[in-house]
Amino acid sequence: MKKRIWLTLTLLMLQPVFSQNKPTGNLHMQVYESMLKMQVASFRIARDKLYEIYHPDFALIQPDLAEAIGIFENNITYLKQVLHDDSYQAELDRLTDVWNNMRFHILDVLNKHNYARFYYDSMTMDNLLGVILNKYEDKNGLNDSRHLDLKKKYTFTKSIYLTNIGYMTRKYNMARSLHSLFEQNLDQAERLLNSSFRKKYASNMQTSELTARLLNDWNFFRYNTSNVLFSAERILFATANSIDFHTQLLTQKLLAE
Amino acid sequence: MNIYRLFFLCLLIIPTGAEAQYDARKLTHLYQMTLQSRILSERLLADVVLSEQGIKSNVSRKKLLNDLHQFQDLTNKIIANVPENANKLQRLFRAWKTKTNHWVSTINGFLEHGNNTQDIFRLVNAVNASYESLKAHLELLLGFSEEQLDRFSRLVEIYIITERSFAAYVLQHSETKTGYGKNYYESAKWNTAINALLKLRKQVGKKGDIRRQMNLLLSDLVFFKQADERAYDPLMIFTPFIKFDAKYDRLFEMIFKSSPWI
Repeated sequence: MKKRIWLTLTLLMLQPVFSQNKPTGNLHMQVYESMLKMQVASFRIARDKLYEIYHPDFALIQPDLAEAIGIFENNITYLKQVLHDDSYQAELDRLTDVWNNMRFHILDVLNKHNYARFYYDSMTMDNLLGVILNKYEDKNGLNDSRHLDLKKKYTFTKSIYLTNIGYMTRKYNMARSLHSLFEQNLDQAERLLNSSFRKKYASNMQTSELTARLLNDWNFFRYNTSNVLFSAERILFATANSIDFHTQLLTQKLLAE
Repeated sequence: MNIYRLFFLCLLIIPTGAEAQYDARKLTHLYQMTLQSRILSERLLADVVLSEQGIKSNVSRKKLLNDLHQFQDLTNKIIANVPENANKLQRLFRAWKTKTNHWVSTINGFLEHGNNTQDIFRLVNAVNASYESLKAHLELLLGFSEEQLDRFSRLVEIYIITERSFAAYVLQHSETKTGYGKNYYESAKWNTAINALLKLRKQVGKKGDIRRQMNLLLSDLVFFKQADERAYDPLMIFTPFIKFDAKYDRLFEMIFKSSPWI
């Protein structure tokens, strides 16, 4: 009996030590979100580098690129702090290596011939993050509607940036393998918008205003993808950022609830 | 006669002998903290430049405040750890602390009114001179070999050059002409920092985590150098530069923890 009491007491004392670095509840959501954010940022960087070729407007592109780089740097550090489990170590090391390699090309002056290689680096990053994300989902059983909704929102934003890339590559007839990105992602974004945002959030009092702004952005974006009267590239760039911003606000509001 | 001579000789030797008996581990720890204080003082200067130039003003101001608190904590810890029986060390550290306090109050003034930059860059020279003399005395007491001293000075040098290079890069891009640091910082010397890191990697980073950490820093330095050479806005590397501090601190800890040569 005495032994059992001592054992229970020891276990109770050790419990905080064991559970110290284990992500739980909201922390799971934060870790999950930081991976999704990085996935979006990887294509945002690819989009910015493409615009840099045809619109070398530093005042427009550099702050955006700096923000995307900041998202990566902050979240890589965060993931390393939170994911202590050895099973993530190999992937995290690889993620750091790929990011360091990608960083060197971020400052390269690209042209229409070597852009595709940079794009595929971004895709590698996205895939690698996808592997870690799936592992994290499986390990922690994150398949509830909250996590799925969050994933949908970030997939939507990712599609918007990919639409930007597809639009530009088609317009300037470069990197043929990327032309299909335009239609694929425009369709995907519309599907996600209808299935998720329009149905769920437009009728919710808390989110209706933000959803209206988002839909407004989307309509403007959609219209300009087929605008033949004047060059819509800069409009698409700015509207993509606005969509990203409003989706972020919506996400924050829903997570705070 | 001989007994008298022996007695006087003993009087001379005893105090010196007593002062030489320090705990080597504690003294090494004191040395480590002293080097860290030098690193933090350089970090604070770069923070002042970032704040003064208004680069992400909220973030850089917050960083300056945090680093200042860290610096103050560290200086207090250092003073508490100076062996009581070491008269010369006590004297040197007290002189250093007086200059440091004065310098810190100037930075506080900058935080409150934003107008003491010139004094900050003037007073830091006195702090650094004081640091150099106490560091030299500590090294003498610890009896490091030439090779060991070379490694330590290289470790600190990497950080100092990086901070100064970044500050020079920021000031070069600055549109304001009030950057008092312009006289303090010459020009960016990324290559010197990279070469110093490569040499240190050859000496202590043959394998394992230390090598990996050094490679991370190396990749950062090359990235900064590229951004500077290609005339990108310093804003582009602001976050990686902020993150560089934590990476460097980790390397610093790793080297002191795992060094078989201490």
